[in-house]
Amino acid sequence: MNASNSLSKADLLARTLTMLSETVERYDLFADQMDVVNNPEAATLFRWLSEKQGSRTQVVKKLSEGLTLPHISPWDYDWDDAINTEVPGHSSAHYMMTPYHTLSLAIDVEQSAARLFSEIEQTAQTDETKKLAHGFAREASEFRDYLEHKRSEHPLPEKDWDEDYDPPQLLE
Amino acid sequence: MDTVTQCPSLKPKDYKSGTKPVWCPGCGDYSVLLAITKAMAEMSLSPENVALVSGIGCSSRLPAYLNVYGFHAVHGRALPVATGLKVSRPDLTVLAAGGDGDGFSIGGNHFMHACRRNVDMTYIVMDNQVYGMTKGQASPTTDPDWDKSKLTPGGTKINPYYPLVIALASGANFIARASSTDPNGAAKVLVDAMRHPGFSFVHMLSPCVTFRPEQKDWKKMVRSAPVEPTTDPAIAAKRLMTDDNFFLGTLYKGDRPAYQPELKATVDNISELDKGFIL
Amino acid sequence: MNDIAFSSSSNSKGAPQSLSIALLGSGGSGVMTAGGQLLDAAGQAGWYGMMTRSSGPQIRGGEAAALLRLSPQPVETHKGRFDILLAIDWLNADRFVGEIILDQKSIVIGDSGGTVPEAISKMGGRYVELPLTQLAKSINGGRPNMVALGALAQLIGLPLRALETVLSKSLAKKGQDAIDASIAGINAGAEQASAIPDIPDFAVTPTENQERWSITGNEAAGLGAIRGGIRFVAAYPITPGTEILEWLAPNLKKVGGVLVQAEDELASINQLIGGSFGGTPSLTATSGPGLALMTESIGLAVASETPVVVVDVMRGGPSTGIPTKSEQSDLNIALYGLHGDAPHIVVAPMSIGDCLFTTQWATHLAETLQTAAIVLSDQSLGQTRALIDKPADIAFVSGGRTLTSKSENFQRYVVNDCGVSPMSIPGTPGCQYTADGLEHTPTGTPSSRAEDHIQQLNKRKRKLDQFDYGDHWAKILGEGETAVLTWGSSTGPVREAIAMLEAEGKHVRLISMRLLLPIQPERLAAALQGVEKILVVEQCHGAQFYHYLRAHYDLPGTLRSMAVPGPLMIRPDDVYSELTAWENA
Repeated sequence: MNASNSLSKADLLARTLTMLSETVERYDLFADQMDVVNNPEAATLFRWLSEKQGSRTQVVKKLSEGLTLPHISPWDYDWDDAINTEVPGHSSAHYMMTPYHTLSLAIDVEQSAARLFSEIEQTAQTDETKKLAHGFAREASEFRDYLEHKRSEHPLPEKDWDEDYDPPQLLE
Repeated sequence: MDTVTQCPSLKPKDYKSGTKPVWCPGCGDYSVLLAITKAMAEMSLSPENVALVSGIGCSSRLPAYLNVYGFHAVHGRALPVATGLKVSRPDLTVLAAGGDGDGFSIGGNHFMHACRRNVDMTYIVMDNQVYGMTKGQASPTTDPDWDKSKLTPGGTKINPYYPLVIALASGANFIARASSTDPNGAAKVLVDAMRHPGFSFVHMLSPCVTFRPEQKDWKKMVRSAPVEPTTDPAIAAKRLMTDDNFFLGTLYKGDRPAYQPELKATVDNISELDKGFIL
Repeated sequence: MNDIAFSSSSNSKGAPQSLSIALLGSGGSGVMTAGGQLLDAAGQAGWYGMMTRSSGPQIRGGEAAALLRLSPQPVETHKGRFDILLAIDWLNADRFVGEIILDQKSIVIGDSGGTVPEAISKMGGRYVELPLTQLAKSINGGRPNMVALGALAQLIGLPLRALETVLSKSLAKKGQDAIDASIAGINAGAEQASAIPDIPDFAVTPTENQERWSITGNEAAGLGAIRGGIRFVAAYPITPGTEILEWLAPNLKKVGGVLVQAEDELASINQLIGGSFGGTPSLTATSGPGLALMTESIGLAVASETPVVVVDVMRGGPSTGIPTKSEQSDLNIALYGLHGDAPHIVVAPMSIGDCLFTTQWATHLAETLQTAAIVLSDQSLGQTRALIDKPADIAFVSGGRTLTSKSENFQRYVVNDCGVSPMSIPGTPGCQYTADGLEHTPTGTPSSRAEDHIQQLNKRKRKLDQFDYGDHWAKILGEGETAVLTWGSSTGPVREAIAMLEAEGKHVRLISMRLLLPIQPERLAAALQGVEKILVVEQCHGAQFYHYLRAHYDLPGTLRSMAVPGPLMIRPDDVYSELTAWENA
């Protein structure tokens, strides 16, 4: 998402809501993926991340009550799927990813979100938007800090963490 | 698209079936699935009026992950199944999807003829230049010197196939490229493809994290084509012949009418047909 | 009646009285057209009959023969022996030796000044010359084939008025001059023929003039398809199945359906699967090489439980084989050609008219049982034109697509007692599913679990095994301790051979199987009650039908195989001789 000068409160809420709900969906998807590949540790962490993002989504929804949010087509967002921006990219998942990787992925997301909301705060035209963006940026930073703390409880991955002793499966 | 039933309340995730994909985590096909659901939501399609047909391969598992009608057919035959469906049921929105092996190798003849026949449908080929489900063999779009497959030691030494050029030469009415690295941009291309009458071909770059890990670099190589879609096949031909495989966007939009025979009875009773045999 | 009258007059109690005529000529001489007009005129006059085309490998030109058999009773097979052979010219005529048998009682007619090839003259027959070319030249726009047609009509006692009616209809587009020239030719030919001494009395008494049809097996299959509800056809042209498609293309359009010419047979079978998945009953027609290409996807139709009908008009095989001649040698591929355990339907029409019923029935079975049905017709049925009584108008109530509105907890492949699960069609809300060729759970999700596999295998088998196919499974005629077991186009000659024996007071039972898959062991056992000897007759070098029977049925008594490859058709005399020889052995 680009920081835009002309964001109204409704615009900002619509974009934030889309961003958060897509992040929730992505964490759910990653959790499912980790279930399928038998990586329960990562699956549990992704479910936890989804829950956390889910409650933030609820808060934003509450803030949006009574407002008519504009419909924004997907291509009007330009977060890059290839890297972890405000929404984690599909390519960030790995079937052997450790809790450390999982949390790092989420930290990137929060870092990126914090940066984005700060930019929006600085360029916002109205106090209302400024205040809102400030709050979102702060939340993202706080959550990032919390994730960093949580990550420190996990060991750094080994050098060859992604080495698989078996070849891939033949399916069809 | 001739008939589209509006279903405005649906979100992209409402087009997903709930079946968990068997794809590897990190696979580009997840993004394609997302892009398809976003495109369907943008077009407010009713899931029951959409059908997606696929062949065999990693990407061909896609229909089961969607909440629309689906057909997971045999290897290489997605296009004929989709053709039969659309010709006999023009009221449906029909898509076909699959991989580069399915579409360009075993299904290559159907690809050519589907372009030529120009039935109103959208064909998405998720190209990762490798056969994933049979453990990483070279596909028609693999570079000649890629030597990681046991089947072709030292590389295939065969020039890759240029699907967009072949689509244009065969008569496809809409030719575009999108990338799984940008699902929102891909959703836009898909909406345009589905709205365009006739046969729309979307070449979808979709990296294979397992057999072609180097394709992670594709995200740095893709870029929007700095051109507007042309309706002139000659301009399109030049554009596609000089294409480096990483330009994204709609590259050609033809104006040929779609192939759709009229399905309207002209006799009230089939006993009318008997008359031709009576002495 | 004179001594060279009906070839089967000695068997008047049994085989139909009939008259066989071969009309020969090089391409361009119009023998096929004249033969067709003779057949239609015979029908106008109240006769029955049939006409087969035989020709060389050339696309244009070359040698051609119209082989006709006319009778006051319906006929389903050629005799082999011909009463009259008329050749407009004799170029390469010896290629038909074997197909056209003559004897001392036959009349051989040639153009004045021609030389009968030795291979033909040595078979015997009375040779008569007529100035066909010279007479044609004397008429403005005259053609030798019309002169020949007039001569034949005169010889066999066919009223010229019947020919005039047919010609006026068939030449209407060419204008009155063409009609007049043809009629003048006919009259000239008739007059010349009347001068031939000792003309036998061929005249056939017309039967009750009920509605009579002129139809080929391929056209009949097309009509059966439409009557069965087929509205989508995708196909790739192949001899000798193409005429089904050529008939269907304009006629499907009339009933709101469509035929798509596909890029190959792989495409055509898969287009059918798409059409059928969309709710439109779908069919294709092909021949052996096309069926071979389709087998993978016929398996998909079975696994995904998508109804499709494939009509295989068999020709000589293997490989490209003999495309223009008949054989029953695709039985094995139709029965066993699908990989995996893939229960499906295989049916075979036993006469030209039966191509209609059997194709309609196959469509009904495919739709009701949600599976693939293969119809094994062949070149001799498909490309022979016959005069038949108006076929019965039968309606089946198909019950396969039971779901048309929203259903709670829809499971496309739900396991139930009858094995047929509700099938929704796209557009039905809440019943979306993905049809799959991968083994699947009741909801259609791919599964490699043993439990799912056995459940779905059982279900797909059960739905075919438990269905009541009624009396349509076979045609059973007569009594006797000897039975002939046969199928498809071999039924005609077998039936006539049995009629010949009947006239001698010998009783032979005929069992012709229309339903080949799923097998019907109990029904066949009942039909074979009291039988001590069974002759198995088929047009196939490898005795595929015989081996099929040995594999799946308990057959009483002694068994004998009469397995004859194409391209020459099995004749009633061949079967008669085989049965007589066995009896005397």
